[in-house]
Amino acid sequence: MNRLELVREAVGAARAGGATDADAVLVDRSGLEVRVRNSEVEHVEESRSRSLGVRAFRGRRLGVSYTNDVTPEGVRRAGRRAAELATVAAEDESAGLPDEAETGVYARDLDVVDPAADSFGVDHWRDAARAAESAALSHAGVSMSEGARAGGEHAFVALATSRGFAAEREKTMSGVSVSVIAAGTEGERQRAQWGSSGPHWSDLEPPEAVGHETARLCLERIGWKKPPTGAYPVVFAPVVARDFAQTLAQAASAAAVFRRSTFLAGALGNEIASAALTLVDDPTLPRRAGSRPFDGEGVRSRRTAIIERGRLASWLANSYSSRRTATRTTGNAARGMSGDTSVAPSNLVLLPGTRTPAELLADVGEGLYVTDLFHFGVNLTSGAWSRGGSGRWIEGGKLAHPVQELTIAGDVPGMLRGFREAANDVVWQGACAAPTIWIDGLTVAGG
Amino acid sequence: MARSNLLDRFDDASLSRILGAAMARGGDYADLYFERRDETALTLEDGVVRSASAGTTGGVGVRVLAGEKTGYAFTEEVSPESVMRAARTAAAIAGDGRAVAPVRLAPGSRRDLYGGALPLIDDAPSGKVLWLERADRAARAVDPRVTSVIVSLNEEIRRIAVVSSAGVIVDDVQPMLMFRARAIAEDGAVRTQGMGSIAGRRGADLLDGDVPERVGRDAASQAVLNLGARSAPAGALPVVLGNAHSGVLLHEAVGHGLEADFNRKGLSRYSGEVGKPVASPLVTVVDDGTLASERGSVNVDDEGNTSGETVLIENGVLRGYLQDRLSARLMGVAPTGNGRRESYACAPMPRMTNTFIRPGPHDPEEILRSVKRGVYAARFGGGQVEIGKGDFMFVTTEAWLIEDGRLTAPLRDVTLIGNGPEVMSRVTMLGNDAKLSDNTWVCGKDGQSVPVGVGMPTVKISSMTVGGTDA
Repeated sequence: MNRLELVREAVGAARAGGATDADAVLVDRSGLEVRVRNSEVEHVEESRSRSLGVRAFRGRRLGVSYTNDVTPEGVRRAGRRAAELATVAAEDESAGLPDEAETGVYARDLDVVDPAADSFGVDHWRDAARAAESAALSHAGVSMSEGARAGGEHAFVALATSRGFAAEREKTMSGVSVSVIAAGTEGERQRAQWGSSGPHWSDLEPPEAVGHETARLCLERIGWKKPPTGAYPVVFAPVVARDFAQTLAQAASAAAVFRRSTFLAGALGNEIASAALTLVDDPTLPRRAGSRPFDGEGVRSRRTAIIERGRLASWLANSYSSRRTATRTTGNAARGMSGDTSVAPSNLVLLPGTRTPAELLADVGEGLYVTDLFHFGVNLTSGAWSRGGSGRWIEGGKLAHPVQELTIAGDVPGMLRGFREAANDVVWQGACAAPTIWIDGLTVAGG
Repeated sequence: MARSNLLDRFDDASLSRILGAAMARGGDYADLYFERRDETALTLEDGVVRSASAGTTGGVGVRVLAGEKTGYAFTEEVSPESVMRAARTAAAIAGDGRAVAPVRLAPGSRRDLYGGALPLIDDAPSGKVLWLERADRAARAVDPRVTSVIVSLNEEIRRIAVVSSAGVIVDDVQPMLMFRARAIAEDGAVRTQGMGSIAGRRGADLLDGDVPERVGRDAASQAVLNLGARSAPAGALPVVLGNAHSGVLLHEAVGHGLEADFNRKGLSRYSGEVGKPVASPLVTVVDDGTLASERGSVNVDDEGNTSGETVLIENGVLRGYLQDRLSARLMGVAPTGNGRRESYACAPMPRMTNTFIRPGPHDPEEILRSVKRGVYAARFGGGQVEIGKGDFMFVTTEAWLIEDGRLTAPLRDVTLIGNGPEVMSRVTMLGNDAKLSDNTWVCGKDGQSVPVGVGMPTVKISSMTVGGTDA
């Protein structure tokens, strides 16, 4: 049986097991990754993994099952099991498949399959990783490599529902990254990592460029000081502006709204930020990592403005959370290995402004330019935002010495109000694009 | 001794043939990792069961080592033919073919750290729903400002078998039960959340007595407490870390830097420091995978080695690293039973099990009294470390302002940052109240998640950077 036949089989088994409605998704990925260190191949990993998830509804009661036994008997068993588990759940008037008017496949080709992808073998990835690593190590001061890795993945997702939706989507991904350590005087050590990834190998930054950028990031950290403690303007480099965009997308999830676990609950339609801020979710962009023609429950892909010139314009929703919030699904159902749906952005784009980053810095005068943030420290429920990070100090409107061992604290509502400006330099990384941004109202703490 | 039924379709001769193929290109060690994982989950939201889920996943991973190189491939089709194909793929990492002596297999030793417990995966869920409902009611009873409660129960049985070219066949059946609650509290425009959880390699006895109520109340009390929390100070301050949950700081600040893979490559802040002082003489750090029924414990690690107790830092002096087979061999030491992996789809790495600081001489009250103005950190959302430099951060979910030796006001989410060895050298007082946290800690490394335990006594750090907003 092919993938579409298998998901239909699972749906059929769930129906035969007593489900009034059901859907099934099959994810089939194969991948190859090569890791090198000091030019020697250290690790080669080949993977082929298939998993099937089934949602079965008995009226408005939901049961979910998953398996990686994707034989015809295995998927039938998963279908029956989901139908059986649905007897345990309570009636939930919002549960169910998406409305049929919303389902379908985005019409245009998104061009996310690299025709060359399947021809890339161990040698290709080894050479890419080596090239990135040697470029990074060619810089004086870069003393050690933590290793470089390169690899690719080819994934198929087949989805079928008991309401007649059945489609398959396909995507390739390539990536190359390297991380190095630089030694300064008096035992100072700095580390940096950089990489590039996307559906098409030819769209990536060349491995050598990835290596040079990694070295630059690492070397500019040498000779750091702690920053002063106080309220300062903070300029986010595009890589960390991306983190801010992702925080906003999570806070605007309809699933968080009905659970009361986001500070944005109740703010739909309100002016929450300065007019300089526009944030868009767009799964229909050609050749991007987050592009896809339909979401995890078969809803047709479409562009959604989440924040439009400072106004909270839309939640991101799947069909369940849209019913709980009395809105429409935005086609943002994500589906994990375990079969149930959640809400997640596709491609997230923080729209650029008109001035260059240098013009922004000149107006900032003195403050913090942040280039790295530790992951933890955002509380979406309360909006509290307190992060560890590092970057450069801004003096006289220009980037000065590196600063580290610092925290930046405030709260996201305040950051939205203090959002001064987005520069005109958009940097894509993975499925998110953001420019340099300037935010007021944060407290920086150093020593 | 009974052979694991994961190996039903494989007799010794076929396992030996597969290992032979894995090493046929010049590998010097190979292992086969069989795994099957059965899981169920129940979630109660707004007082009713929103969904019930269950899943079964599994496969076989083949690893080949050749010097410092690793070849890895896996299959989800558990047949001798497809495992053989994976073995040939993994073998290709090694270059020059040479003859391999046939592998002779013998069962490894067995023990049981889990008390023979198994979660009730196949039991009727109605009894389980009662636990969830009890936690939900207890959480709502804490305060009328509790507006939303989610309670979940996750049960897991993970069966593994490791067959290696060293000739050993071992297997393990690892139970895990997790019970979690999240409460949201609201007061006007202020919205906060609190989490409670308990986890262990246990059966239903984990939830005996009033444990469901306790977990629910824990989550709700934390959310309600944070409704009245004020913003934290910013800058360098003395910090007192409460016992048990603060072990996450140790895990991040010290534990990861002591994993042997970073150290054999000279990449850790702790590389080449064995025998040297790396912490205050008060501090003794231990990783122990043998504690009965604890979340991070395992009878055998994911390379088939027996778990053990490893003293990492003794009275402030670095004693050794956490080893897996590859690093141990390259560093010329014995594996410590810390080779762990997320699943059959991943190669093992040196990972922590249960990591903690042994108790010290001080009364926790006396530690608090010694602080004029500082922060007391009781619970944490998570943390992270940068291995090369040793810089770490973590975030509190419950913290207090200390004034004149007393806890005076709850503080909103505080980020604490520092450098591992520096902070460990600033441990000036160590409590006599060492305890493991019973929460559901998950450790992530290189994309692989494994369950771990963390713990410590009450600890005073003379100065740390506190990331508040009150400059």
